[in-house]
Amino acid sequence: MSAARAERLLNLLTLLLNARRPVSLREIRELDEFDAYYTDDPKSGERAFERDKAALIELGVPLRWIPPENEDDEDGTGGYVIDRERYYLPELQLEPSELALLSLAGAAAAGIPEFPGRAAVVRALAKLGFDVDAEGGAPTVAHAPLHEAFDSKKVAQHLEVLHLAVAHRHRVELRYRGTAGKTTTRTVEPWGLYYRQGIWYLVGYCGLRRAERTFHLGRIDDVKPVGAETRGPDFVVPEVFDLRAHTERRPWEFPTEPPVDVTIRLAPRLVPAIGEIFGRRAAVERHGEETWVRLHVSNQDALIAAVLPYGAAAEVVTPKPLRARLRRVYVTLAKRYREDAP
Amino acid sequence: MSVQDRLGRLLFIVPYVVSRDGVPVAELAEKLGVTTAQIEADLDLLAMVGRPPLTPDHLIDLYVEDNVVYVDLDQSLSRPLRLTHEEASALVLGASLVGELGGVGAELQAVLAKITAHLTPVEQEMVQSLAARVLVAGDEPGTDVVASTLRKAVAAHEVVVVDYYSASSDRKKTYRLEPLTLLGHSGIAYLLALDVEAERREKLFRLDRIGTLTPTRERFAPPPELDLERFRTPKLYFGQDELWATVRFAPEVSTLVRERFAGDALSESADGSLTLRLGSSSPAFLARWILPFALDAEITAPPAARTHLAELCSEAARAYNEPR
Repeated sequence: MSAARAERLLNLLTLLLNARRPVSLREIRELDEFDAYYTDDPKSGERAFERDKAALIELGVPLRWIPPENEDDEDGTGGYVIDRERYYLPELQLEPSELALLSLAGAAAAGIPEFPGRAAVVRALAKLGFDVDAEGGAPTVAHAPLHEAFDSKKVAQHLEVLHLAVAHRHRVELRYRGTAGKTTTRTVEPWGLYYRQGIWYLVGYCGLRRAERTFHLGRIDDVKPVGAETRGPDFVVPEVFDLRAHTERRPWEFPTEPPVDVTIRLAPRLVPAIGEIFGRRAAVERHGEETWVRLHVSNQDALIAAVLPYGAAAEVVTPKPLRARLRRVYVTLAKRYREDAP
Repeated sequence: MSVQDRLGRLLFIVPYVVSRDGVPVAELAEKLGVTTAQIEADLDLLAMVGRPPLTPDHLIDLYVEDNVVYVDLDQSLSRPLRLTHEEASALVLGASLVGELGGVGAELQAVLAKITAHLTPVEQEMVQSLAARVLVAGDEPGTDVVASTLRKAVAAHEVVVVDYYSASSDRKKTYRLEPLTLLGHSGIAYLLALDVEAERREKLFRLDRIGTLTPTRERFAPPPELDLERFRTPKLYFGQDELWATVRFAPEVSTLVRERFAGDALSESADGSLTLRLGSSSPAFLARWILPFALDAEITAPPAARTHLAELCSEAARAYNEPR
């Protein structure tokens, strides 16, 4: 934003905040500070005013138009006001300890350059701390960095575009690189964004695959909005879609094939790590000395990848075909590693 | 820099300085998360604006002396603009980055509810709607008994006994710990504690590897200061890389390998296969990283690592050969 525009916006805001009655566009145009609204083509000047007005409203300034009160109204055109009651930050009566908790959220957000709305969080904390100072330091630390494999600047740019698209429910066009290295272009209805262990993901309806898909933001080469900026929503997010449930999905729960029930026999030493390996939603059963984990699996390759490192300590008991696959992998690997290195 | 960012900052500076009767430029920069050069540019701009027509008594009377900012005439900018729904939404998402951490998350939500109550009903709906569409994956609130018990033990400076799965040694171990705090990194919750039976050495424990947890009623004296900002690092790992292995990956998995092992020494052969030099603290950790690639990865050196994998896979093959 240019300094000239910033000055004009501030002047407009301060004019209306101090006014004791509605101010018409004609009156505003007569002031030297708003010559951008006084153009040879009146429509052009009006459009400049409308853009500035929209910017202030988007910022949260309670600016509105008041219709002409009565026949004696000089212009008969009404005027603009800022509602002073709704402009100012109210006294929130936060305790210092509450502010310390909020600063924890702020520090977590400010700690990652690509976090959407990072500047907004900093501003929010500044406002919330206007009337009270935080007491002591934050009680702990929470850090959510981006995995170093990815270009954080690029991810930040894409996050910003996608955050707006998710907020306004606008379609986007993605150029996306799959794990096999192939790049495709597709139109996507962005339903939601989430961060998981260093990576941001987009979930939405993929026009190319005609189905719900999850996209890894580090593999998005380019993203751009589709259509005009100012318009209503392009789509409705299906009611059954639950982003929280989606974030808790484990890789073997992504639907790539018909689901099967899997039973895993777990060695005692792995029992404390059930949460890490299988997630909180794994069904756990005790059978005497044995602990079994039951999972609902719709991506068997992902489950194989998850249990392989634990060998006999996480033994798939059923279904038999999956058990047979794992046996073949272990037999092949055992033979490979018993031989001399290539 | 967006319109919201710059204007939001400008509209905060004037009332903040007014309320505190002079504020150092450096303090403004820190408060608003920008450079002092940016604040100076903002102050230059603010000195040129006010209530049109801009006669001298209509300007914002702002000046800087010895790098301290003063405002004598605020032109009604006496308090900041109220919290916007964009700022509230960003705060809600920031709070989700914190995770639950044994109840901290729930307390944060209570404070956020207090704040968002001041938004208009339409804005509250926008905040709630966006909060449901941009999330950080983490603990499910209210279900983690281990985390809430630990948080109480931290607050009470109470020694706890935990059964823990040690990934580096692939064993279950029992630890006697002085719990210092819970912290979050990359959406995973950790306990920072002193290991009583290891000369009170500081260690990190993942909460999702803790089995049983028993408070002991025994109290300890916590360290007078605890620097937690040192955990704000790209990776949370303080171990020693004692084992260096060479791993070869098939071309089919090259994209995944480059993503997972960015920052490690990777070289590509003419046939598209990748060779990685990987450091780890133990053979068990090496197995965790390499075995998920199944037949598409092979540790070629050192021999001890190959022996470890041979034993792990042979034992597994025997188990899978048993009828079930």
